[in-house]
Amino acid sequence: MEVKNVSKKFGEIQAVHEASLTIGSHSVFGLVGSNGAGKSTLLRMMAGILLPDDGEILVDEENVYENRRIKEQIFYIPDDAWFFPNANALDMARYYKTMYPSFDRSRFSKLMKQFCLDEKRKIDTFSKGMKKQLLVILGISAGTKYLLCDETFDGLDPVMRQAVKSVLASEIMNREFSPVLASHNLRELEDICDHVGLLHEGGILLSKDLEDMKFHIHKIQCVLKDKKREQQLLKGLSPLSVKHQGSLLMITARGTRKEILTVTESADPLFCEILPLSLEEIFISETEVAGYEIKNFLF
Amino acid sequence: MKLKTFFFKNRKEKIRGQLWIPSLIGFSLFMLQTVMVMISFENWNQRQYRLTRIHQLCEELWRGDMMRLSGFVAAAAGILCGLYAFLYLHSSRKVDFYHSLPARREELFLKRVVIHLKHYLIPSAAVTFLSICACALQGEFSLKILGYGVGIWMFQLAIFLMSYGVTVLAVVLTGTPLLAALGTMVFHVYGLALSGLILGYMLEFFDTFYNQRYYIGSLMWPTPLGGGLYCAEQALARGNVKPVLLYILVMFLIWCAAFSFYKRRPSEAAGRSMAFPKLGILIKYMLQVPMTLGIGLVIQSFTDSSEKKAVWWIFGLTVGAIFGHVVMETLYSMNFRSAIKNKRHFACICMLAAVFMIVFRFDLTGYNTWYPKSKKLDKLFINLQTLSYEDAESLSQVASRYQGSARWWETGNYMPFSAESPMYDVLEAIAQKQGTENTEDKDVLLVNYRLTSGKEKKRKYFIDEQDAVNIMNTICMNPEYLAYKWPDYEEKKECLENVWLDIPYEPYKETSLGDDKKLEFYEALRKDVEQAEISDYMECPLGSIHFDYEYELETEPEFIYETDTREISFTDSFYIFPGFENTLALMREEGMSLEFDAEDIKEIRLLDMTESRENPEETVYKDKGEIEELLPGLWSQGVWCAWLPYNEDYMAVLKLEQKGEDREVSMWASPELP
Repeated sequence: MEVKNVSKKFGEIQAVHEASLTIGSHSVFGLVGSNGAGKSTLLRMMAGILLPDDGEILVDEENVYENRRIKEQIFYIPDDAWFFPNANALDMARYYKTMYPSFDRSRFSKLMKQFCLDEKRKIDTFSKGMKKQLLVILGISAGTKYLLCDETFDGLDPVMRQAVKSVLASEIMNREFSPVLASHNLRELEDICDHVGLLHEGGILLSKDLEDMKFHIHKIQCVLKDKKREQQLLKGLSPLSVKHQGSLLMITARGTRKEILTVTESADPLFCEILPLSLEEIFISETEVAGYEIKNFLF
Repeated sequence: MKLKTFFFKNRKEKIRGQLWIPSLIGFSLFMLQTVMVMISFENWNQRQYRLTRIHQLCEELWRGDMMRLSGFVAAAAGILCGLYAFLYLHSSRKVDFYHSLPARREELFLKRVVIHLKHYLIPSAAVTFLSICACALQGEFSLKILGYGVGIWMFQLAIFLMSYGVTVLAVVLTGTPLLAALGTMVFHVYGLALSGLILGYMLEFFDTFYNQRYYIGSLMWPTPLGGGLYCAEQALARGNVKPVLLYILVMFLIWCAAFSFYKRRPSEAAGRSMAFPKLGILIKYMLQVPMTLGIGLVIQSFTDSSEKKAVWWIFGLTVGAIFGHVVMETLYSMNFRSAIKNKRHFACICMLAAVFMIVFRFDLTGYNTWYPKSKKLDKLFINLQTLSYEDAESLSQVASRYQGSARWWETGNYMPFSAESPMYDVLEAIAQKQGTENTEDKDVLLVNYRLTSGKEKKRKYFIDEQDAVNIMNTICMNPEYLAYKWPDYEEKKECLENVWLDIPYEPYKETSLGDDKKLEFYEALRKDVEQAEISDYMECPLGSIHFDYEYELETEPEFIYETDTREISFTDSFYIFPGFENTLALMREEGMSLEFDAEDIKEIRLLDMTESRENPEETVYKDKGEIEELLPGLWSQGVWCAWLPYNEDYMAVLKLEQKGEDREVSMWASPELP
């Protein structure tokens, strides 16, 4: 699925501005952004609900909007979903079966049992978390290639989160399946996403493979003999950020572990340690480089 | 999408939660059709109507009340289905759900329309079938009844589809349930309100405007329900199917518009006031301008004073403009604080309202003084019933009025004149002064113009006394008027049953003639009528003669009750003028007189009641010479003559001695008598 220079404006508010990203197959894409970043808007455009003002969203080189054949490959789970009044899970499954040719009833029933949800119970009586679980089950059972989830994990308890993650992983292994998970919780996405896109004020700040991102950025903690060696080290590293805590120098720099270690050792440090960064730390660094305010961004 | 797949999916859709809709529709129609049929038959049987009458009433029931009432249900069902089917567009959650599904907008639209169409079709067809069965159980079944059943079902379907389409359009164009409800209501009654507004302004500003049908029903035709009823009436009563075709065309256009807007409607419009902002501006103008004008019209009606009218008009229009603007801006922004925004639109709307007002106030279209060119006029018709009582009476005396027949007017009580007749010039002079003079204390004359193009135009003229005299004189000279005085003479003669006289100075006494004299009087009057000149009719009538007829109908289509017979009776009445010598001579032979002999009068008391009616001034005359001089100025109270200057403040009481009997007779007295 390719998103090419997509923009969307609601009145005077630019919700999405020239966003571009690519979602590959057999991978989990994490769409990260703060409240009001444009995640939901982008997801709704990808689901074919909203028509982009500019740009296009393609699946198999066909536009998504008003394309029934392509939309049969996409299942959208909104943040605040709606169900038929007085319907139970089975009713919804039957309805989706009429809309999605690849809907698997047996898979649905099996997943419902796994998650301990009663098929015949009215959905109105479900809790928020149970509704989210149901939606994920319906989405997986639909057998679509893409599953767009808008802050789906937020209503789930830690056990259920793990369960959902393992189901998604299992689906990816068994068929061509690419979930797109939108969230503002980086820690939540870190252990499941293969690829991450950061959305901020309607624009894509960066979109990278997670492992690749982690492989090419590290944090160095070291103690050097003198200022001259410090300057020499900083010159060699081209750091993203530098902090001093007494004599301890903390540097975030791009490069592989080996490259950074080589440069650091050339400065003959008294103490040196190279640490991997969490997703959160990576994004903080990247956004600082981009010059954006991030104080309300992560929590 | 393949049709088979589409309908397969359609059938599978669970509609458990929607069964209340067809149930409600079915129940309502059942009560208004089937139950009505059963109750009606019960009533007719109780009244012991003849079978032929029941048959007729049954047909009238299908074509009348049942059709109208079921039309209401169909319209309501259309609104209900339209709202229920498409109100999801106003909820972002529902929009996300439906528009994320693998279905094109056309499929979503069609699916919803078809489902709710089925919700209507099935119960309405079932109820119509039950109604036909109910008639059949009562012995009333024929191809005609079956035809009415099918017709009423199709009529309901048309109303339902029109109402449904209008509602869908309203819902698609708006973004919130409140505006959808308001929009639905506005769309359904806009035509009615606009017609009413234009009617109100025409009545207010155009003296010559008149509409015979001031009642609300006539204003309903530009509405889904009213239009359907109008088309049905035209088709059933006159066989005119053009309105039906037009109705279907309009319905088709509305559905096309609804579909087109639905397809183009952005999903993010859910929650906004209007889904299409630019169209919202147009709708705002279409609502605010009539609102301004309507409120202005209402407020100015608070005063009858012509001096203060202008002030009240300006006040009313100002209030209307501000109120309309506040309401519309608040609804559009869903925020009362936005009421004073968009001042530019406010100014434009005020200007449009002002232009409308100016056009009407100063009659820029020339409506009041319009008069057809003689080359474009086929005929003009004067409504005799709109003449004053006095003028109508005078016409009757000129034209030998008789009851039960209006055949000498082409339509109803309208008297025809060609474009070449003198009446054209008389009316032209009257038309030119309309709108320029005070209309107080003036009489009203209604005129219809039929143009050579086939169009008809109606005008109301305010006429003074001189105008009335000119009209009356011209009417009297109309050759058609004079040529057709007593139709069906020979046919009615065969059915003559009774002849009786009305003697004015004995107003409550009727003198019947014996059988042997009936035909003599009939023939005498016929001769007098044929020989009479205009000048004869200009005199004051002396009394009236009445002919009663009875005959038997050859067929019996109109019978209502079992006791009805084929015998029909009616009466013709004629004034007797002083020039009707044959009739008067016959009356004298029979010892009846319509005139006084001065010798019979012993005294005349003239009463002047201008100061007081209870104690009038009296002047008594006993001298024979004086009595003879007074007689021409005394007029009978039992007849009316338009040429005489009656004044109710002047009366005369005559003391008579005739055939040894004393009696008193009251008469009108000329104000010029001493």
